[in-house]
Amino acid sequence: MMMENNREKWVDEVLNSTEGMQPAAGNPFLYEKLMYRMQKQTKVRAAYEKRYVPQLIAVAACVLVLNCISVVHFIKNEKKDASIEQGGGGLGQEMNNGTVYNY
Amino acid sequence: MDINKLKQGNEAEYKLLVETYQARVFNTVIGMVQSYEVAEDVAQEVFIEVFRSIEKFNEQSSLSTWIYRIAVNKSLDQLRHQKRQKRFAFISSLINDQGGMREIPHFDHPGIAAEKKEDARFLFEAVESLPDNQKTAFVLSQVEGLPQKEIAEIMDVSVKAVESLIQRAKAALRLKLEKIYDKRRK
Repeated sequence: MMMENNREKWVDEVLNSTEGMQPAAGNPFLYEKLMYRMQKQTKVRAAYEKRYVPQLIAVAACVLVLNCISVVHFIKNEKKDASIEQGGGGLGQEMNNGTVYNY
Repeated sequence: MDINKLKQGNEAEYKLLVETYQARVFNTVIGMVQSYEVAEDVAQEVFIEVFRSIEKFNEQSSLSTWIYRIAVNKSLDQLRHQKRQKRFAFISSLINDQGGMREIPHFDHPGIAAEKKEDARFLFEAVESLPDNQKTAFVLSQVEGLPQKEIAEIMDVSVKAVESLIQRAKAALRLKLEKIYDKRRK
């Protein structure tokens, strides 16, 4: 019983230990530190942009050029195939060797 | 505080904002993260966030409530980051077996009177084990001394919910402190 009381008393004391506490004072130079930190972050971001943005643009341009080349190549091949098909049909007719559908 | 000037990026107004709110922000953050150095760093992050998102501030709540909300969120982010680091350190210690985990030092709140410092140390040790919402409500109420109505606005819950969170926090702290007492007696 005595121990219980002591425990309760101690717990109450600990729970009430924040009574009358003063607010913790921060760094008086917080504003100056903030400005320095923000300027540093801006500089880092600017350096990052200066370094990597042109590289990203160059890579994007390369991808675009490669895409254009492959599209042009694809269209050329399509046209070539179409002309071969046309030419084949003409030759078949000339040689009297048209396609025979006898099934 | 002229919010329009802040939105226009007026440096003098921003300096005034920092001077007005730095003590409140620092006191809240230090109660949450329980380290002077970390609190200083988080307080800086709070004001950087305030500066960057002031344009989005829609004045539905007061500026003070909005800043407290950012302070609480940044503190909780920091605590989650520390938990992840602790977990990683634990796994590393299992793999490398280099002396195990580093113990967290006891925290002395600079605003506590000298004769209560030891008791407060146990209290903050117990506060650390509370769930995030109980910890937030308890710190804002007991450390920062805010009224329940303002805490409710900061946490975006009802006043009754805040009352319940504080009661549950106190009950959990009592249990934790009883265990600490028993452990010390052994």
